[in-house]
Amino acid sequence: MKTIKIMTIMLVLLFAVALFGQEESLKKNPGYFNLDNIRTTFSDEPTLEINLEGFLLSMAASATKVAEPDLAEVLDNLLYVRVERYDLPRDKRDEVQGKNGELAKKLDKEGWERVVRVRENEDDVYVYLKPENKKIVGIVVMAIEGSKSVLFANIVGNIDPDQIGRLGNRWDLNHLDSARWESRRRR
Amino acid sequence: MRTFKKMMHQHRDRVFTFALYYLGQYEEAEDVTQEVFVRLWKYGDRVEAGKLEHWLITVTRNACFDALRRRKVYQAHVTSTDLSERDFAELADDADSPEQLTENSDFQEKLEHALAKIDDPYRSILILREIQDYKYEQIGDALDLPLNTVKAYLHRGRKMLREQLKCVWEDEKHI
Amino acid sequence: MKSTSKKWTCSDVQDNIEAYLDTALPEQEMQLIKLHVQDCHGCQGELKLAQRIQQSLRTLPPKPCPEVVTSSTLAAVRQQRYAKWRNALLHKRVWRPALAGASFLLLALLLLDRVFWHDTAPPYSSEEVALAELDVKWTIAYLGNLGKKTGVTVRDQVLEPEVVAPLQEALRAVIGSENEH
Repeated sequence: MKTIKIMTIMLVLLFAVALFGQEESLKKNPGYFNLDNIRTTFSDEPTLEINLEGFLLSMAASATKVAEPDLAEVLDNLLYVRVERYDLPRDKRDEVQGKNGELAKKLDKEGWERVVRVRENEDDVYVYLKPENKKIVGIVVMAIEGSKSVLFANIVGNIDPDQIGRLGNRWDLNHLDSARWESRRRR
Repeated sequence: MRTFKKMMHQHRDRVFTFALYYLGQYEEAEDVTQEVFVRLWKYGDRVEAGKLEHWLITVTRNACFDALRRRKVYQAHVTSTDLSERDFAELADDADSPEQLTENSDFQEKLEHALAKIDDPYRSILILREIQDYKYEQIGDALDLPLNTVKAYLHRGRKMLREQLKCVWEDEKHI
Repeated sequence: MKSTSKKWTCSDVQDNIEAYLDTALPEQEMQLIKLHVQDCHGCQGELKLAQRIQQSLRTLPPKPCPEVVTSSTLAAVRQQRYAKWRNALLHKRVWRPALAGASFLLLALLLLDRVFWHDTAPPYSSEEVALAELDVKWTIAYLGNLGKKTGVTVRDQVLEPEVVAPLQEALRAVIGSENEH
């Protein structure tokens, strides 16, 4: 009885440590950028929220292997995808712009490469990449989209920008937008 | 978990009916129903004995308010489909068999349309009292309103519907 | 309340038609409305419409909740239950001996859950996986769109100095050394 008890405890401990370890290793990944604090800037919930991690991404990769092998390849190499979009009230715009500037400085300091910086009309976009060992291991996007909304994204994994670009042009964003809403409403 | 399942089976139609007539939109009513029961699972142990019905009305109504707020964001994203038109058509189809699609169902369809447009608390009171047959006392309790106010609001709500449906009624008379 | 000493106008009557239908007015006012409506064509029409609305509202059918709502709610609840346990595990001071008892209980709960839920569903349903696929597609399309909008390709900006150039250099070095041989 005692042995069974000890084994049970060991199993549960292993399970807990594995879960804890998974979360910790993601945070230590050079492509990870902590976006947790942005939530405090906004009083409303995000209007769009994507938060996907390892196992779910691998399952999605297996599911798409036959129909879309190139997407499966991308999915297989991703470790984490997080996107949050918030409504941007007029009176918050300056505050958010300032905070994005601060985040950009932090990214610069942490060795991220700024690849896009656009300030045009009301758009204000930053895109950063994290190169490591001649590969891209992370992407961070901060985009004020006109006067309506602001979007933050962090993608972690072994990223082939060429492939992302190719796939990105294949799908229509508006169509996907509707499909996402539709399938969420159906759930 | 079994108790929860039992409670869900017992109350789901009432919650769904309220949400559907309140929002006039099928998928939103499904979402609201799910949300309400997930909350029941989370906070069910805090609901006083005998107050479950009251709690469900309050939470469903609040979830409907949230759904309306979300709808504004959604409509900003998808502008090509007029959801409310489409869903009201579905609502009417669901309510009546093809043979019943007569003058009466047309009036009912317009009535459902008008109902989903009037302000709260009139809309909630009309659904709870006239469609769901709750007692005045239960409605007053759940909406935190005195009994006489519930009655007065019910009359005012029906009067609002009458004002909205006057043209439909006039048209019908001329046909 | 309207004074009952005067004769009621159409507007007074029409303001009170719903209360009249519910017999929620004092007897005297009920009579006044009744008399007015008998002689007034306009108010007769309003009364009929009010009656029609009342009857139609009361005959609107209850809507049965679709089965899919029940199943997705139960799935959501189950997922939250797993998350709760997971958090409980993560926030415990695992090195304390007291955890042993709690862990045993947790395992027992897990086993009980299996017994009562009979299914052996993977941690994510096919719906969730399909949604994840859509989410990733959306993210990739968003990046593609951003690239189009800003007119900057990643290759030009970062791949060139970080990846392509070092590779070319390495190749040149290999080719150079081969030529020397």
